[in-house]
Amino acid sequence: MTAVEANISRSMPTRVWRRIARYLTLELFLGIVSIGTIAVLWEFANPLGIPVLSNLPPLSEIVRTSQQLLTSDLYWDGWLLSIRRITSGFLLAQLIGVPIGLLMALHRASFEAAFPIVEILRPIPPVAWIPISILFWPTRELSVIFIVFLGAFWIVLLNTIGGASNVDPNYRRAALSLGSTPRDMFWRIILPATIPSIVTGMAVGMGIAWEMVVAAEMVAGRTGLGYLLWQSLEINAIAQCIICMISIGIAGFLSSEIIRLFGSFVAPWQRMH
Amino acid sequence: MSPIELTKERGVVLSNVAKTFGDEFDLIPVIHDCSFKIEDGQFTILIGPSGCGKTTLINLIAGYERPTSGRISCDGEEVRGPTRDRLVLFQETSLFPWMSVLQNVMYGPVVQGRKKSAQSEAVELLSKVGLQDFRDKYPNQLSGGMQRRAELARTLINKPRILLMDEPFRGLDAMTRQLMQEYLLKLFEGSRQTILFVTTEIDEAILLGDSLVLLSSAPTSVRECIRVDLPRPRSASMLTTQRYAQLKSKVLAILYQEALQSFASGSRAAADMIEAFELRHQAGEP
Repeated sequence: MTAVEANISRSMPTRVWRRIARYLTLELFLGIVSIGTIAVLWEFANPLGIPVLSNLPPLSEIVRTSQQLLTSDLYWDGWLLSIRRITSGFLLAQLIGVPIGLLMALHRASFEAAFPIVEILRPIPPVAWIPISILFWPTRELSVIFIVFLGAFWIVLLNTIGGASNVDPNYRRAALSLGSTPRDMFWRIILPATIPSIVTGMAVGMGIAWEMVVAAEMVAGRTGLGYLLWQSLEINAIAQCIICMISIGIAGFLSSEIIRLFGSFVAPWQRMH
Repeated sequence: MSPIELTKERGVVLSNVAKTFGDEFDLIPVIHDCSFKIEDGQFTILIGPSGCGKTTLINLIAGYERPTSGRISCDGEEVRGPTRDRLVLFQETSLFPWMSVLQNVMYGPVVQGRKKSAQSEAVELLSKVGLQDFRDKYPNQLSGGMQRRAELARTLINKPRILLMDEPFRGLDAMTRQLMQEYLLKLFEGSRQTILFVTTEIDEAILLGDSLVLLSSAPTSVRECIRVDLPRPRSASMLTTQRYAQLKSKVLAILYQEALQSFASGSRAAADMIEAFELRHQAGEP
């Protein structure tokens, strides 16, 4: 029995690698083909007479314009400021949302007291908070951060509550029988059991946070990628507009990768299947 | 030691235990008057039709729930809550997925504040259940049978007075199940660890147990207690002996009766429906 098991554990990595390798080549090939097709269609949209796409300047022109934009401070400051706003708003949402969520899940009276407020405020889209946020906060910077915060806050709150109140009762029972104090129960059982839900909340929350920072910068900002995007409309620079859109897409993608890495760091048992 | 303590009854005793779920006007009796004794160093089996409240009995003995009436005592002391005297091996794995196998086994000693002294014991136990090479793996990297064995090690390191096993081998394939039964037999025959084992499989019950407690269909009561007088050490080859066949047919007869009864009580609903249908037609509706 043991020999067989040891054998299984030795041959596992090679098998996994082989599978990844096969998957990667096929995936890579298809990905390159589809992106390449879109690039070609876009470049020759005008002569080919493709609707919608032919209204855009050809890809080569975008690339030419991008050189100008990509070397300007305005563009990189935009990145920096948007990222700073995302980071502050998002981290604040975790720092406040996770403890409140845990408290609400584990303490009945807190839940009953806070839940009505949550249910009244949560359905209001964060974008609808922009006007009052501008009036309320002393600086535009703070109001943008506040909108980002709201975007990430509700989802992390709900996910934390959901995760912490749905811990498998057998884990609690086993822990109780083995002699856990309430303290052990919280730090060693409930908190780690909730981490995967919190990470899921973070991944979704990060997506909403980028939506919110773009919207808030368009309305209330004087800087940032969202503002740059809106400004390109006002000066009628389609190429700049498209580059900003792609930049925001890349930023969003990188952020979710960071959350994913963070997730596999704090919940390593989840990827070990 | 006071004389009262000396006269304490060893082992776990259930006397007239009943358990009812639900609110005042919607009571569901699950256990109705159960009395039996789990003797020290014995392998006791609870067997009965499915849905008869065996898991509820385990929860009561473990102390996760309190009986509505009656008394459960362990070594003469009333059971008032979960302690490490009575540890449960659940139907589904309850290994903590965020801890390595070794951390899982060490959980009891760590929260009880005897981490250092238990370390070598944990390693030894893991090799006893054949998991010495898997101590740093997470539970979801193990097979079903390995998870069960890791869980067994996690309970045994706490030296429980009684080990409560709630259909622990359900869901394992036939081969693994047989291997696990052999592991458990070897372990029990080597240590005489008191075990209460819940199952619905007659073969498993007779192969493992010293005494069988046959339960009725819900609301549960004890239908009969049968001693299994097969010699130890036991092995799967005993399943072909004549004594085994006798025991099996005896158990089978009682369980068949119970099944018939639960079927009869189940079909009452159908009778109600027929009655209602006839009443409506008598009222003269077209």
